[in-house]
Amino acid sequence: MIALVTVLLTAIITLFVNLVNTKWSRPVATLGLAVALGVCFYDFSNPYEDASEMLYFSHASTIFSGLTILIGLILIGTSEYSITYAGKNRGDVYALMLFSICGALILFAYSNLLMLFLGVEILSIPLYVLAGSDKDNLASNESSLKYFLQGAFATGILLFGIALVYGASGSFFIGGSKANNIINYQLYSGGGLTMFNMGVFMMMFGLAFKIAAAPFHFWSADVYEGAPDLITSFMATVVKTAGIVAITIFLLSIGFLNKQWEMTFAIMAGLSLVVGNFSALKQMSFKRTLAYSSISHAGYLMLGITINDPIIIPTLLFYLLAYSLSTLVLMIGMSWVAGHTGKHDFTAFNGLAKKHPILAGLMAVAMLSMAGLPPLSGFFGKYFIFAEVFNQGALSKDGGFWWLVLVAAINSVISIYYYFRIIIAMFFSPAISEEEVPAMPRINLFVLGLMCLGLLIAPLFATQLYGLMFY
Amino acid sequence: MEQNASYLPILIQAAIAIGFVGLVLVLTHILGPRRYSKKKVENFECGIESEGNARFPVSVKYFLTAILFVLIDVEVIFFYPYAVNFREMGVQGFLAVVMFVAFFLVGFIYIWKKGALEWEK
Repeated sequence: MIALVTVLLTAIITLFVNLVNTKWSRPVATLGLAVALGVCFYDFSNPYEDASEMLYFSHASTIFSGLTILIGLILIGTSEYSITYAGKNRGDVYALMLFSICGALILFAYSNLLMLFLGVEILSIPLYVLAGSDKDNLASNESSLKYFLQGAFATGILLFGIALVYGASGSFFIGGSKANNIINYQLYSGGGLTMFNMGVFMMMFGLAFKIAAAPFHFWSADVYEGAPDLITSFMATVVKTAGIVAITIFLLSIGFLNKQWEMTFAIMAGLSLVVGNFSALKQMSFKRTLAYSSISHAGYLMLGITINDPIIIPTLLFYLLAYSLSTLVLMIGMSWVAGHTGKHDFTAFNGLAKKHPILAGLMAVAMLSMAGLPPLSGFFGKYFIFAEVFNQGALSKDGGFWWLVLVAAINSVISIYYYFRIIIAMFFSPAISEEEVPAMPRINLFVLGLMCLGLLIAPLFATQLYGLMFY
Repeated sequence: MEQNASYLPILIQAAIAIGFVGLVLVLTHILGPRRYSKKKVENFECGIESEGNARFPVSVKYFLTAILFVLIDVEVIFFYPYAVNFREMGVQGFLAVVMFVAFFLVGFIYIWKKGALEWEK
């Protein structure tokens, strides 16, 4: 809760600092997020409830908050050049990003469906504006309009689903500890199961839209491509994390009813993997490829959700950590190159390794982690999820979702093709770009290096990470 | 069968409602006298003669002002239920409302300083 308030105050202060002097807005926002990250660690005590028991700050929610704030910190901290498109309004962009992070923090801790709705709205509404924040760019405007129109419908359906769940159960509260939660009412009332399931279906519709899981993924490629690079990386990391955690919390809370949703989720996960990967194969634009690859990563994450057991939460955390770090390295690198060549194509990266070997090397490490090659975090993230699903399948009579793991493994191999295209472009293609890409500032390179180091050593601390969640 | 029968009155009522509306529309169309004069076909009958086309581009400033007005308007609407429950909600309710107004005030100062309220710019 303290972290949430810190981020909110930082956003407001950033707004006003921007009015005084545009140059100060980035340091102020960065400092505020650093404080919020510190508060997160300080806050890591016994779980507690807040906001009329509508928010439940568990260890897991605090750790996910820390991850999100860290992502925001890295993005805003390194945004000195990727923000220049906003001109004098850059403080507003930062403030909107911070407001969006507030929504994400609510989604990590909600124990009431109203808070779920509020969190989704606080997360999304700034993003509609942010996607169109490059006002003079037609593609940015288009992506904003597309995201807003489709997002508004998805949120409406989510709200309708919440209404149906409330109608069937008579409660907004989720979670096992409360007597008046949706499950207990559901049990006593007997009927209304159809209505309840319909409500859950509609809520899943809205939430699956937010994480861009197939078949609700149609917005993502255009929106990711049109939005400014800074905002695309924000959407691909923070929004995906928040959406996945929100789905997980909800599905775990409806317990035994979840059984009938496992197959639905398995099919959605399989679809996301296949659609994301096969669409990414033929793209010319690196940014668009990353958008499709983020759809397939939503598939891996949803594969984990099919397990229907709280044991998956640390596994999801590890996967999200690996995915977010590698996405950030790639996006920040891409933003630097595209900012100076004006292109997001693969050809813009041709011969980058000759001119800037460190940047190219770091991006290659992130790419390998995304593709899931050992010993990087991306591999272990996938491995942990596959292992959990296999374990769960071995315990159940029908073998669980072993076939889905096969689909995921095959897709993981296919994805290497398009992940390696950028490496081939950087290391083995002669430079054809006329525009000279200057060297990246040392401090940004250092941050990218730290993230790659994190990708390398995170598997060593996986056990400790798991221990923290069940502290 | 029993269940279907219970909805029959509703169906009859719906049919009568739609039928009546349709009948009245058709009847007025056939029976009503028609006189077209310049005054009659004008868009607004407010005494001032209308001028030009209604569909011309309006300055986006009107839009901004209208949106900002809606925000403040909604804020005031929230005061009505609070005014009714002023005594019951006590100090805690008062502090909550003060916080609500403070958030609005921050937003107001922001749009003011941002120059959204300046007409000539």
